[in-house]
Amino acid sequence: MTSKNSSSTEKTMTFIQKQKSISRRRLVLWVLSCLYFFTAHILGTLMILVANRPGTNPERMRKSMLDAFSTYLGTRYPIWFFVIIIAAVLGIQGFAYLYDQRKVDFYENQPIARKDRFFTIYINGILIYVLPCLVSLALAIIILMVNGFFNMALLADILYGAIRVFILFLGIYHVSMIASFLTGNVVMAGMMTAFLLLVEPVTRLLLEALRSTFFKTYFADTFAFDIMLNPVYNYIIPGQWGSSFFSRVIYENRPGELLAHVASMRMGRDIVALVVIAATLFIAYLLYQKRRNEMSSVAIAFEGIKPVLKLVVGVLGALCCGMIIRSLFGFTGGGATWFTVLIIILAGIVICCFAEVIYDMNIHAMFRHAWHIPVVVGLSLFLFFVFRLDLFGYDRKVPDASDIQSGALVLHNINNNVYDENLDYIEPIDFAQKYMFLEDAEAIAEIGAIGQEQYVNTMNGQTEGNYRSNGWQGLLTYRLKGGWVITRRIEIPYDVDEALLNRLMGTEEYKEGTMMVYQDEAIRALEGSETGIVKLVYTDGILERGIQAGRTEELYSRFAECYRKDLEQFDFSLLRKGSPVGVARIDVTEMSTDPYGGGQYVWLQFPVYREYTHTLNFLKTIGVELPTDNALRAEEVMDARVEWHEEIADEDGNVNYAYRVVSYSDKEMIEQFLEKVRPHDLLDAWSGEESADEYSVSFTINTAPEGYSGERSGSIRREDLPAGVLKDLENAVPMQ
Amino acid sequence: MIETIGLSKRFGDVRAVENVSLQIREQEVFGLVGTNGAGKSTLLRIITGILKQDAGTVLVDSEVVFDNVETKKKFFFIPDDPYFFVNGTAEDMKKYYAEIYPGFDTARFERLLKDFGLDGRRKIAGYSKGMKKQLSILLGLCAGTKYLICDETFDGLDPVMRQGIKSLFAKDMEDRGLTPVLTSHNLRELEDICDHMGLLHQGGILLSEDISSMKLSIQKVQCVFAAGIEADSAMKDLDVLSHNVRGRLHTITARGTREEITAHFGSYPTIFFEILSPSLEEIFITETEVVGYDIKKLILD
Repeated sequence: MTSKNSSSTEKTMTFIQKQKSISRRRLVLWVLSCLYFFTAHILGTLMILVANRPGTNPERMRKSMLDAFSTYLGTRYPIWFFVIIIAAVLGIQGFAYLYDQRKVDFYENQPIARKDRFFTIYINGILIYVLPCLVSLALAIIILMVNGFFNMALLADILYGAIRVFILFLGIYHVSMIASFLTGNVVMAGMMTAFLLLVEPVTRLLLEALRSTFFKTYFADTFAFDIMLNPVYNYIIPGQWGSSFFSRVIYENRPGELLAHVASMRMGRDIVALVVIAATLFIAYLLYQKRRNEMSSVAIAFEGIKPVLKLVVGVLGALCCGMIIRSLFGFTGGGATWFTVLIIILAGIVICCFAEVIYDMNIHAMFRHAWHIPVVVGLSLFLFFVFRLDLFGYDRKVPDASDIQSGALVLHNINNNVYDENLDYIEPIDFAQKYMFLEDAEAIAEIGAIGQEQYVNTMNGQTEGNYRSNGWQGLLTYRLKGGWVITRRIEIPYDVDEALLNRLMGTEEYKEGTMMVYQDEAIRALEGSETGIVKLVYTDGILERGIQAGRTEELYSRFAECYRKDLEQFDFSLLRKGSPVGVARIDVTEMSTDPYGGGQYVWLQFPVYREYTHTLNFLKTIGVELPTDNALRAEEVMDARVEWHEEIADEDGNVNYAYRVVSYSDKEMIEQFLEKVRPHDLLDAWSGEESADEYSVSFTINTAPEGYSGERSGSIRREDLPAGVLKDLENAVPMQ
Repeated sequence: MIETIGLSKRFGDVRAVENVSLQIREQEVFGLVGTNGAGKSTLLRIITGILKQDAGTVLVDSEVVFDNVETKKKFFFIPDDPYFFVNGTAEDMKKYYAEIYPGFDTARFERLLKDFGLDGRRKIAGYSKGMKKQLSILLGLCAGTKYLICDETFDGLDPVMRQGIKSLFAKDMEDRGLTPVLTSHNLRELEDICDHMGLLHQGGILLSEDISSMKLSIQKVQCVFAAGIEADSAMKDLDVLSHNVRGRLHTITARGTREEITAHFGSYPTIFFEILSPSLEEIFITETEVVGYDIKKLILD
């Protein structure tokens, strides 16, 4: 006996001969691929050229064209969907001979090693995609060069885009190959491809739905979907379509910056995608070698995976049906659970029966392996109740202090605009997770335990239409030493130990992860640029005064220095007991040279307390100070209108919103209001018990102060309202 | 030589091939007969490396077959229902096989196409079943392989074509030492060409013998014993496979050479005595009846 040897076949047929031979039998796919890419790349390019001519301003035209071609051919490639179709068709068609016993007899007895046949077909599929793609792309680039709408940045964008789409192609191609080896006919291969591509995102979405529906403290962290194996997800999710960044760097021909930016956004996922591609190719090859040739025309080629597939599809399908139908019918009450259970049972039975019918291609086989039905239904119900009843104590689970590396705390009461390094608006929790690293693990764990428990109690006590809370709600992120990052919803009770919260909110780490003034390099850079314009407006709720900085004044930077000094005093005690006398707002705008605009705009809000002397002095220096005892005089006010916004429950327990209004014109009363009224939004309920926006005062001004006229309004605390006013409000007729 | 040792293959609950051991010697025509579903095609697919056996070994010239390129170069397999490229012509198939089999004789193929009246440029889809069968046999012969393995070889061929194909087999055996392996569900199709026959039934080999030795070792005697001679005593000490009596005429099939049988009956006076050569069919019937099978129902109906 001698060992296997394929060397002489290698000698008789060269790589090109093999590819020519197989290509002769895949002419249709070659033609379709050529048609697609030549239409997409060349015809598309020509259409953009024609549609955008003639331009009145050459530079504007060039900018517009470069942006259009970058959008169409570059990393933001909009027609990737067709690549998925091409890849799936190539993956399935290439090995479709396995589904026909005649073809199996024909090919498999020939003196060609299985490995050789596998890679010949595999590479041929890639060539069918790559060659027309590259040729058409090259022709499109030549068209752009001839017309003068080309530079290296655009080339970098197009090439990186082509590589990313190729990665997407390979991902789908390999998955469809795996599907074709697992199955025994084209229809099943198509279904299996769809299953393999959908199983991960559907599982994730289902888990997300179960957690967000049934776990009170669950917060849908963006990190939850950060890493996925799905090639489509890895391709499309990182995209930031329409970002002005691309437009700018391509027009200014900065390929290095463009690639660095794109890589920073996408490289991680592209690497994951490449690893997945390598793994799926290996699996596909293994399956090809293990697949038995007699399995043509069957539904599933590997007996062993049938029950596993049925279990996965059954459990996922049953739970998805339960959650979707529950959601469609809008059930939330106690009956919702039993309704969902019923749907899960029915769906589990139907899916199991359907799977057997497909496996056997025989309607009479629906109850074959009937014992699978209780297994699928039982597992589905078990998983449902794990979430519904929180069997493993998710909401109660608080990491041990010794396991916590750091934390981040966001309280929703703090209204704060925050931006990333590109000055794109981001959520406060994302900002905090990026910049806040609270170190007091004991305090984090303690606040977490109190906050999670209170949040669950509040949620359990809520009924439809009644969403009253008993504390300050927010988010707490635990960064664990093992690398896990967990964020939970919390509610800090009004009677919380002030010192405990100060251990977190009084730290530099807290301020760095909450306030933009600590992460303002991009703002300072914009302010220092030729195009940056800074405005500062200060208001005490009644009056406001503003100033626009000159080109070299560095208004923001100087303000930020003073404000940072004052923030040294900032902690939870200040928030709770202090009283802001005003709020400074800074607008930073980029006057873009872009003919289509697209410059940055940010605005930041800075509460100013009486204790913030550096800030108040600075405001005085630049001439926008307002007397803390209020500048609006009682003589200037015709009348003051006090509104009480309240929630009134009707006989059915439904809560309606109503307000009562009383007006006063006597000078003494107006003076009392003027003394206590504060800007809206700043009087958040840091004192607890009552919401500050329940009471507001509007002043009608008869002699307008300089630059202002009409009506001014602000919020006022209940305890600052005279007793007579409260009585008048209670006697007033509620209006809706 | 092709050798299978204890070969078994199951498809789910069905035993397609069960413990088959046989030898196919070079430059002999091996015939494999069996009913539909007996396992002939499965056995050939295992021998040609299309299917992998569950148990046992297949050796072609002492080498394993499955996924072994060098071994596969030695044979060409013509399945019962051969596949041709969609919209393909005989010319296309020729080009394809010429790339696959280095020894493919293009000139001979073109000549044979002409001899058999097949249009090389016509789409194969338009061929009749017999023409497709002819084409596949011509492709197989021209591939120049050592073994030509044909499933249901003559199915669809008219008697003239069968004879033509048999002549081509004989010529290739003589010219280049071809070893054809032929299957059929009908014994009569193979009996005039095969040197060695195997009978497959329900996945197992019932019989595998050289036809010449089968013919030499079994004799058919027709005789009328003289008065007073008991047939039973005359057949004593003889390995009798079958015995029929019509009037006084005894037809006895017994194991032994012509000389041994003649010598045995020489000691018993007979009025009429003649030794006939049994047909292959009779040998098969006799041999399989011995082991309890009614062969006529299996391969002759």
